[in-house]
Amino acid sequence: MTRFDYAAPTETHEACALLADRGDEARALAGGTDLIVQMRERGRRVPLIVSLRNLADMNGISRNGDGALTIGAMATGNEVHHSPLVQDHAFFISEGAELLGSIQIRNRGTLGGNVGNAAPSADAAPPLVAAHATAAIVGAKGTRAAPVGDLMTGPGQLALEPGELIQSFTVPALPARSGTRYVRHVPRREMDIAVVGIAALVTLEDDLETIADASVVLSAVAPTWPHATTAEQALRGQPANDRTLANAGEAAAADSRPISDVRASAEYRRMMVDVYTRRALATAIERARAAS
Amino acid sequence: MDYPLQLTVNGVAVKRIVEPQVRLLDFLREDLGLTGAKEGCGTGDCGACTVLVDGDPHHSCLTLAVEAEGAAVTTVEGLVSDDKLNAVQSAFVSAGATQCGICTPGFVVMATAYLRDNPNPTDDELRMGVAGNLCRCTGYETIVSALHSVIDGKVERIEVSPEPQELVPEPEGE
Repeated sequence: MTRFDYAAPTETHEACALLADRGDEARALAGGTDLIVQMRERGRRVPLIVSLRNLADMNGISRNGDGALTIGAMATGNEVHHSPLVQDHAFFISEGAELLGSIQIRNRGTLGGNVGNAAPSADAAPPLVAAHATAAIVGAKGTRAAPVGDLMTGPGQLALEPGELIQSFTVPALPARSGTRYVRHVPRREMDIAVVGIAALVTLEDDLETIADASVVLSAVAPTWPHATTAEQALRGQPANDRTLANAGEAAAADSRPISDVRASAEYRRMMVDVYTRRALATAIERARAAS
Repeated sequence: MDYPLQLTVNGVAVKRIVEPQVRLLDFLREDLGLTGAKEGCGTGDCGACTVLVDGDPHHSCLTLAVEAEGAAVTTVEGLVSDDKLNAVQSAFVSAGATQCGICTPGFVVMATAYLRDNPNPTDDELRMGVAGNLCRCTGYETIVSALHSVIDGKVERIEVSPEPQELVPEPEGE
């Protein structure tokens, strides 16, 4: 790696000021599992690294008074995966975090980094989008909240101003009779990148047979992590049966905008969106019933 | 600008000045001469550089040395205690779970941490636990059987010489 300057401020406003001052010349360092590789392998030049490791207000996982869950952006993959609070609140956030690389990667890589790296194939970010999580974004002008689903504008692109940092994520309490699932398709089980990922949240009516509401978010088959809106419409108010799931799978495949690359063709990806949407929904429905 | 770095390595307090781009792996190998941790891929895929940071397995190739400020780092060298290899190290020796040896230190460190946290995994769980460690010699079966012998409590820890071994033998008499 070429030389760079390094700062590890203890105050968030200092970190934001450093990043704002240096603009494109500076990058925030969370776990480093993407950034260090980009700097070493792809010669990405970063004159100033601003480490977030000493920012206490970016750590921790806690339940708020209103029943929402707040996860610090610096919470590691393993912290998120193993957290009983996360598992109890929205199980698919734990499931997505479990798929970040290996145990070693999950001890360094962070939830904020998975969102901030803005890879279309991210595994930990889509469940946040599906659960309607908001990000607390801190910058020179103070703190603002933005839906996680609005943050990513394209591969590697975020709707953040220079000097803005993702501080934490807040996941609202899921409605009663809800179940979640994140599942991905990969040729290998671990240390691989999603060919297709599906985050599903299903809420059932009192009868546990009718779908009251559904949220389906796609990974690795679009430039961002979009909701499969046609699939969601095909689920609302419908009976929770195979026919409804088949309709939703087909609709999600049509909602996806995959590309062909070394991992899979667009056509194959679209077929897998259909299959994995049905599977994710079936498990989410089972979990909604089991929790009721 | 260089940075003062204080950390503990294998129980010893270490104080050095480092450049910020130096990785923990380079610091351990080149500044401290602890060459157990290996560089395989350098991108966090192979696990050969695995060390414990505050007890948890991390890739030392993806960690800047300055980011280990204040941490307790344990390398494969630090797993020896009371002049004996630990159970995983001993099991690797007894099972011959080494071919070229490059992946061995990373596997040993990772498995030591994994079995500490999960003393009774199923075979499937065990394999997933070390899925971040690659053996390019593909010697996985002996590695997994060595780890099963640890799980089964069948390993006798092997004694090692308390003296540091000579790396370069003295030339024979003229």
